[in-house]
Amino acid sequence: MNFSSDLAGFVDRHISEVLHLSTRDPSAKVLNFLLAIELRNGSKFVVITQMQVKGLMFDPSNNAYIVVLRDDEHSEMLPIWVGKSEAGAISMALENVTPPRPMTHDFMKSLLDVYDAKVISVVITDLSEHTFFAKIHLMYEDSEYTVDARPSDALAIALRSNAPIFANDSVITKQSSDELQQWLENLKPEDFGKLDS
Amino acid sequence: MSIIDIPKEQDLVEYRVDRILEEVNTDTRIVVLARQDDALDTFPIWVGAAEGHAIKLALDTMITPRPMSHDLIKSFAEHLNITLQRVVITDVKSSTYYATVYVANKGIERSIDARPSDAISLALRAPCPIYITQDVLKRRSTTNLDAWLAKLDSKPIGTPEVQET
Repeated sequence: MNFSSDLAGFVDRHISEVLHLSTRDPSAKVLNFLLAIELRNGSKFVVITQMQVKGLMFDPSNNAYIVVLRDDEHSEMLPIWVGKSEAGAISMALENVTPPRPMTHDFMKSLLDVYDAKVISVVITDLSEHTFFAKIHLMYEDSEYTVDARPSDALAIALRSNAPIFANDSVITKQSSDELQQWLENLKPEDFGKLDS
Repeated sequence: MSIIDIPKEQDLVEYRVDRILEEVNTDTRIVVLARQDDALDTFPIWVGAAEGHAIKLALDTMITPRPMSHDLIKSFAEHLNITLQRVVITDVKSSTYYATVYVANKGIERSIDARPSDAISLALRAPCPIYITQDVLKRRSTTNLDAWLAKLDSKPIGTPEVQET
């Protein structure tokens, strides 16, 4: 799959739901629609899958936190390593905690709110040299804007905006190395939820 | 949040970020603001380690390989044509400072409640001026500073804590 950032924005905006549908029901109609888009852009389309933030774990070996994303069918898992304060920002949104003072991402949300700008979606777009890349799609006055971000910021703002989270399939495939699978399989249930304790 | 109440100029004193001090014992940072007009006054604000780091990056004009959270806020503002007008330390309640960030877009000005650390991080990146209200300067919280100074007193200053071997 050739990834083009311009195309990604286009795909996310118009057919992200259709793309997701296609993974469940690859009917001829949907495939034809995808093919039409592919032809129109003269490039391969980007397949993205909607993901949910399933939780946070502490990784003692790296002294970091892992955000675990899963697709709705639970067939794919995407772990993303983040720092402590980044994990905190995601954790607060996951647990619906309202802090006494606005945290950085609450401020970010307020800035968008005062001008009626909306987060439409966030996409984990790429993984390069152990670094994940993300894009935030904003809608403001009938125009769409695509903003480069770290996944931790993208997830923190998506959870606060109730915006859907997607991952490019190339990222999911790249990440699912044998080593990682093994590491995840060795996790005990009590390793989950350590952030709270 | 959006009802704009622009503070009067005579009520505001402009400050700049002078330096960031590390408080190793409590893993906090002290953001030291100094008066822009070089009158002798410093205004310390205690912030968390991550918040202090975000301010330090901007103060040292460090470019990180990936955008940090406040870079992303700046990026949002740039994309949507929002400009940061000023940030103001507006209040202090039980040793906690409150800040307001003033933004404008096509002549429409809005104010947003913020923690001083976020406000200062953004002001350095925008860049835009940082003000403290006369009211806050009068009522400034000295409890933290006193506690900190007391802790300093308990240690003989000038004696290295790690003995050279």
